[in-house]
Amino acid sequence: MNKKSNGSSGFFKRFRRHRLACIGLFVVMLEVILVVFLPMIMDLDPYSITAVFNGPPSAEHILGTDTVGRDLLSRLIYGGRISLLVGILATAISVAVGLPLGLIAGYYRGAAETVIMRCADIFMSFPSMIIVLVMVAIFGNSLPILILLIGILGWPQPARLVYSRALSVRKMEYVEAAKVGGSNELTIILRYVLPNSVAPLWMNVAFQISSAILTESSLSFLGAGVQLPTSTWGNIIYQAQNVVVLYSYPWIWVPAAICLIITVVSINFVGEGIRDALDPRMKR
Amino acid sequence: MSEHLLKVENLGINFINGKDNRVNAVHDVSFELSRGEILGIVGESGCGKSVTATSLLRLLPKGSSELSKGSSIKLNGRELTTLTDKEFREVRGKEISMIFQEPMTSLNPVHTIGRQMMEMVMAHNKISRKNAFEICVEMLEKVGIPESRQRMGEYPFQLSGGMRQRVMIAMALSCNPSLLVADEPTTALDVTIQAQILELILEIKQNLGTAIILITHDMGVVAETTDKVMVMYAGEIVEYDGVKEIFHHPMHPYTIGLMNSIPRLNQTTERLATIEGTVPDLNCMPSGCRFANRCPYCTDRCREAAPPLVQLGGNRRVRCWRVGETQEVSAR
Repeated sequence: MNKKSNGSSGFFKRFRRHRLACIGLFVVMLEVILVVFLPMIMDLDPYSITAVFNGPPSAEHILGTDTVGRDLLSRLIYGGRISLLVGILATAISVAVGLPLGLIAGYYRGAAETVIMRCADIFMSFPSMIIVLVMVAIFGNSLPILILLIGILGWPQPARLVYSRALSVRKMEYVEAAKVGGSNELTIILRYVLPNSVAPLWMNVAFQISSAILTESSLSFLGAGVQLPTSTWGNIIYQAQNVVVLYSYPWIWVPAAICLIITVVSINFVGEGIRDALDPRMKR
Repeated sequence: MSEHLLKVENLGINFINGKDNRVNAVHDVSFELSRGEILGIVGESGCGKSVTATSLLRLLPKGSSELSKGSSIKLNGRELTTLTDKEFREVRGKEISMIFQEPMTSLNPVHTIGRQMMEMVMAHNKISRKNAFEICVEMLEKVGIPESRQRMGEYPFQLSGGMRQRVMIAMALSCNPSLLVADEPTTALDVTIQAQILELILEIKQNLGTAIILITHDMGVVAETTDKVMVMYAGEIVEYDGVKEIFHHPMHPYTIGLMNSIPRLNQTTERLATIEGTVPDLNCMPSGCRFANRCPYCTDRCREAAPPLVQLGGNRRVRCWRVGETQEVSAR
């Protein structure tokens, strides 16, 4: 009889029916557990340089060693910590900023719409890389600042998605009906406009996480991101810029690339699953 | 005049179209309604009937519309036009409620029926979830939804159009409002469901004493359900009286035209009767009678000066210069 539990159990029921989403969620959780706990049980050292350069996978170094002889498995695991952190936190910040702004712009329109959406346009048209470089030059180069910057610069995408949906939802008769019922603005926005506007956002979140991970890598490459010798998936993959590494030592970059792809695809499925599970009409 | 539940006087609504461009959509509308009465507002598309009704609930977009000076809406003797938005929220749902034309989109698709109904009940009454749930179940039963307890946990897409309209009605009535505005509640439904919903509206009127404003362009619906009729044309009342009087004895040329255009079973006509022409553009209303360009009885006087709404014998009000003469014509 308690409706709240009724509603959320419906959500999990529908989510469970989405097999790929369940697998995706499992993979992402497994990745998080591995990068967090593996260093505690295994003796992983991503920094010390061994005698073997560009060593292929062996008993001693399961994934081989990189161009300067560091253990690649250790670098992959430690790199995963930073990459996942950057991807997830930066996207969370983008959504936390963009979602409410998009809702406000779409629901209230008028001056709020003009200010917010024109700001979004400015943000999107301005080369974000340059802003980051300038900001890093001013505030110094640290992981929290990097996450914050990537996150804030990413706000227009969720804002625009939610905005475009809110524009049509605000005109729906159930919003009108809620007003007639005497609901206040906050209730209308949170219970009516928000849940009916977020569907496209879940897909976007997946892409944004992957693009945040890649942005971090490009920044590292430009010297404004996480600096070597700290490893990230991005800077491991960037070693493939060297043609010799690309062709002759694939074990250096292929595992990191696979990890990145698996992460993005999994998050994508999870996003799809959440989107479908939130829609009560989905019955498969 | 405290006996009237609702008293609307000189209601005028302008749409603001750019800085100095005001378009008059509704002009000089006055009517009153008592408890347990059904007022039908009829007229063709764009005649201002929906605008009039939504203005009672203050649902017109802010900033692009305004009430003209001297407009007054009194509910139980309380002036509504001067309330703040916050005060007005208390009126919505609790004192005036509304049901819409399109039951398919009037319910929030992501929440269950029960959640939506309970939300509304709990917004206006300080009661527990359990009590709210019981009230909603009872309300659903009242509007004729079987297995209402089970329905509470269902989503709008699981119900048919007629069911959804019933849910909407149940929701609108859940706080026991004294006035219900029904904006074409049956237009989107098929004929059998339409009849059921109209029957339900009549029951509500009888059992709960709710006053109802029924907006429609279906003269059949008006004849079946309403007590009083207000015929609107181009934002003005053209004729107002009890339903029997209007149907038996229409006086305004527009009402006469409307009555003639209802197809009759006992007549075998090739073509349906129509009223020639179209409604004048809101931007360039004629200075004289707004119906002049379509009126078969039109004279020079009609084109020059706008006729006032004249009170005749009984409750009849007509806005026409030639009211006496049209009466003769139609009586023939």
